[in-house]
Amino acid sequence: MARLRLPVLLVLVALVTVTPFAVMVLVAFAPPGGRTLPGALDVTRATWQNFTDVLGGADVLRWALNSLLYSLVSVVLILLFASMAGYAFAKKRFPGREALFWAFLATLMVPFQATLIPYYLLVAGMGGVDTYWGLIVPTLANSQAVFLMRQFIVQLPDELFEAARMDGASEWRVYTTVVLPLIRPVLATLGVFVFLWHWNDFLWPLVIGQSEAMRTLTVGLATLEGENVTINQVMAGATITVIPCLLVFGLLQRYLTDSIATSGMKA
Amino acid sequence: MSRVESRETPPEEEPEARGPADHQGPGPGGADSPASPVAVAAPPGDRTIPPVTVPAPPVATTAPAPPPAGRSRWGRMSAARRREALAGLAFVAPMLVLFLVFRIGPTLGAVFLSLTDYRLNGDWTFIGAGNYARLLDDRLFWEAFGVTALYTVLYVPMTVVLALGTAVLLHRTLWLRGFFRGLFFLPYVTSIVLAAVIWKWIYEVEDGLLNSVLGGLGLGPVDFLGSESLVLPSIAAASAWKGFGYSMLILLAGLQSVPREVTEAAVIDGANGWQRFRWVTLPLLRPVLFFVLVIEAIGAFQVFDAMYVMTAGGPVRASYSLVYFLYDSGFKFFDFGYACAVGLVLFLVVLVFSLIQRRLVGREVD
Amino acid sequence: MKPPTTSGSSRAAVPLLLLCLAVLAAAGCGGGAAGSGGNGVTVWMYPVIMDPKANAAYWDGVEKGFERAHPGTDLRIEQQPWVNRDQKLATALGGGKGPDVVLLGPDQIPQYQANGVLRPVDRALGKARAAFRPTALAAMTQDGELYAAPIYHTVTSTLYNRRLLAKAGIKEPPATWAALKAAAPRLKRAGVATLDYSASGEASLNMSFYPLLWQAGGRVFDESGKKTAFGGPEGVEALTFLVRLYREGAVPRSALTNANLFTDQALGRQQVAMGYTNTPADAALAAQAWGKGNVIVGPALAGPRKRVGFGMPGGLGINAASRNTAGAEKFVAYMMAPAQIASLGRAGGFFSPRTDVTVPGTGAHAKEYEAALAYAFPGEPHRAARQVQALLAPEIQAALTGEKSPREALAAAAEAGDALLARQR
Repeated sequence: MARLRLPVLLVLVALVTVTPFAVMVLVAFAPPGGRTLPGALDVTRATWQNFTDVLGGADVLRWALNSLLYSLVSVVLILLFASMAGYAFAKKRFPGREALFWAFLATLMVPFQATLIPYYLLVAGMGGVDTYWGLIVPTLANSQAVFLMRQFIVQLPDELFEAARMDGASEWRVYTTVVLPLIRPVLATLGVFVFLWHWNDFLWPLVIGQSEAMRTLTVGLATLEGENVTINQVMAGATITVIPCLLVFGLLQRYLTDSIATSGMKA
Repeated sequence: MSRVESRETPPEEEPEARGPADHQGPGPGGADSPASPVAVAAPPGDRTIPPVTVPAPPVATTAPAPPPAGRSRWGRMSAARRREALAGLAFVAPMLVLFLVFRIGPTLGAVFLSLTDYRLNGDWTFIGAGNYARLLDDRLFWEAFGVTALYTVLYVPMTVVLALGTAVLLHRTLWLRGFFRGLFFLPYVTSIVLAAVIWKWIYEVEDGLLNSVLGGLGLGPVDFLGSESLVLPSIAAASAWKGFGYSMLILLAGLQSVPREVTEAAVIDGANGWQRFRWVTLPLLRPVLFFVLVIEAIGAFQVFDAMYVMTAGGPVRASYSLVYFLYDSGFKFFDFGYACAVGLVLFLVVLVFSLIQRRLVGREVD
Repeated sequence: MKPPTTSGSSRAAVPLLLLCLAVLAAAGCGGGAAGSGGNGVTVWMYPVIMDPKANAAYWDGVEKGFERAHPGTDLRIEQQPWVNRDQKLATALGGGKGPDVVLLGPDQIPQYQANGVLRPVDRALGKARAAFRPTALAAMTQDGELYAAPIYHTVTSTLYNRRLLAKAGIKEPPATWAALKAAAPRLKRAGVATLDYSASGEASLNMSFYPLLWQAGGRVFDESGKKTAFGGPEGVEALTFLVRLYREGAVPRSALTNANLFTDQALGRQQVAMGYTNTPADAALAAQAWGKGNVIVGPALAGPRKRVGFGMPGGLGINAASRNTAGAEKFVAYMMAPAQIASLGRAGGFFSPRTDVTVPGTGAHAKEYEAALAYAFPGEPHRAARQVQALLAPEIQAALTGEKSPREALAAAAEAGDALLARQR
């Protein structure tokens, strides 16, 4: 009995978690107007209608590629810069370190809506409107990533770095051959988070992009919505955006499982 | 091992780290205490230290730390220390430049705007603290403040308990662990706007999912989003569903870095599951828990999207949050100076809140 | 402890990083200014035509047609989402960027005009002024100058569900307050609500409370524009009417979170027998969802004093920071020409803002909407219209939930509104 309690609990929580999600997919495939539960559950009436309505022959591929570029480039660069900064904050003593680190944290507390106008003014002034760099570069300054990186690196035993340094390795070499491999698990976790944040981002791509060619998937789908969309179409659009996230998470899941599960930082 | 050494050094520097100087502002302690899922964890191979007896000094591994005064003087540094400082700055540099330009820059911009009556065409006059004075007299601001505080009080415990509960469940089981973790993380994959749309549909009074179920049991209908007392708990529950996956992953990592000997030792002492969790695991998890609490509280104070999509702040402003107020001031009424003032007040509140939280929870961490 | 894959991961990271940098560098060329400058004209358009494909096709056609008529001008029409519409526009204009020409509704104009980011379009209108509906021009006018040139006109009217009325044994669709009140108990016995309403804070009062106020003979602002007027007896009468219906269950409870939507709200789902601010697009959706024979479009609802509905023009405004105002004015003039107004009306199911152009109705209920156009009032343009709506909407919610009486609710909103107006002058 006692042994069964855990799995039963797990399954219960899983059911509650997954229900709204399942509802989304069901409603996305339900015939237009089929939105209430008994109707939406009727799988035999499933239809692609909502998806074709939502897409309307638009250039979804281009939008998806933009989203992918926005997300992947951000993931790579944020992981690199944040791990470098996290390493320095955790393991290097330099003047102003604590003040700087606290400043990084504090910016998390200013709501983005309050700084949007100055933020845009700045990027626009640099000529970043409707460009890829204007879309990506400003979002690389991610305090939360630095924070997380620092927390994980700070626990690594100093002797690991010392040993490499004794062997005459340069600072950069210590970072690439010792630090990076050791933090692979947290790189994977953070990679998932960063990917999701950017893939689902709406406000910044909306504001900074203008031409059709610069649209990300979230923005592009929104430009197709009239003022009165059916819930079926909303769910269909949502399903389209969520699937790539699931793929990425699925791919990294293995990595996550292996690394986190084997207790923290074992490489 | 270094872990041993680093644990031996801190006792001398710890009092310093807690000294008054470090508390008056962004001291190192503030940054450090949410620290480290990690500070607790001994390297896996290192099984000799009983970590329970040494509850993780947060700053531990930066040992051997120099006295703070020496840090800021380049001249007094040894050549090796200078090299280290240069290397540190070099490693921080790329992020630092991005950060100064794209985070601090706009924030200073917002500070400036909050002191003006900025108009969209770029005209402005300096009005000093005018916007802030107006804020103190604005009933709407205080109402939104109350709503935000109440929402935070509802959302943070909900999310953290849910995240901790699922993390513990996952930690205890080996059966399909990866599968369940993926499942629990699923809601986090969706956008908050989508979550809000789904939940609005679930909460609907006419024939939403919940009221269909309640109706089947002969209850209801309950107007979840139309009642002033139910609207905040309802939105908080939806947001908790959407958000707990993030904290869950971090808490799980924290749990998994609690050395197994500790719990094993407790088993031998005859502690049952709950006792083990309460007296062994939880204290060790405290730093991670604190980190999660701070991050979730920051997020809760900035709640907006869920309310915008689900209730538009209603009924009767019962779900009208501070950032909603900010958004209306800025992007509905184009009163940007005022909106920025709201943003900065919110920043100060969250800052103070984090510091208090650190005092309450963080002290026990030290 | 050292993992074997060390060099492998860094070897992969370097080319990946270089790739990223290369992409950024390649994409980095090109900047932005307000509009397109030079010979270009940039336009921000929204999905005004419901079908995405038809919308894209129509505006492509406009681009080609305009460039043929004005060789040497490079026209770019960029589709924007309705979502976060003002946030994007305000941010862009605030940064001295944004399009040369943008689609605006009457409710947006006062705010943007007061911020000095719009340029009057009177010059583009020129001699055509006399051909436009005076109410359409008035709705787009601030301080005596026209800030958006109307290119289409929307109309709303009553929409009934024949099946639900029949279920309650009602033959004549209720077209007045009195008839509506009489029908409510019968519909209730048939298990449906009577009137759909939108009380969400994001719902424009122009589509919810204000028509009732006008029907009762009231106004939002007094003649001088320096005081609110909705707190008068007419306002109380209108709100009392609404609150009574809501209490009786004749207005569905979902009204509290409805934001002027038809689809997936009580009316679209056949839980309510009628709406009173529904567009031709709603009627088309209703025909799909309920079956063609079940849709009835009636005249605007009549209150104790007046028969009046809401309908507003959509127009093109010009960015004050545009570098090509001549080109922008050319485009605005092009879209105001009878041929364009007729083709846009046909494609989007709109009506003509010009008296000398009639859009031949294509929908099943074109005739009824054409008739309703005569009662379509575009609202009271006022600099503080939005702020006042934001103050009034929660008080209406408070009256609906029973927290305040209609009189108390309106008095509270009027007090706050008057204080706001006093501060602005």
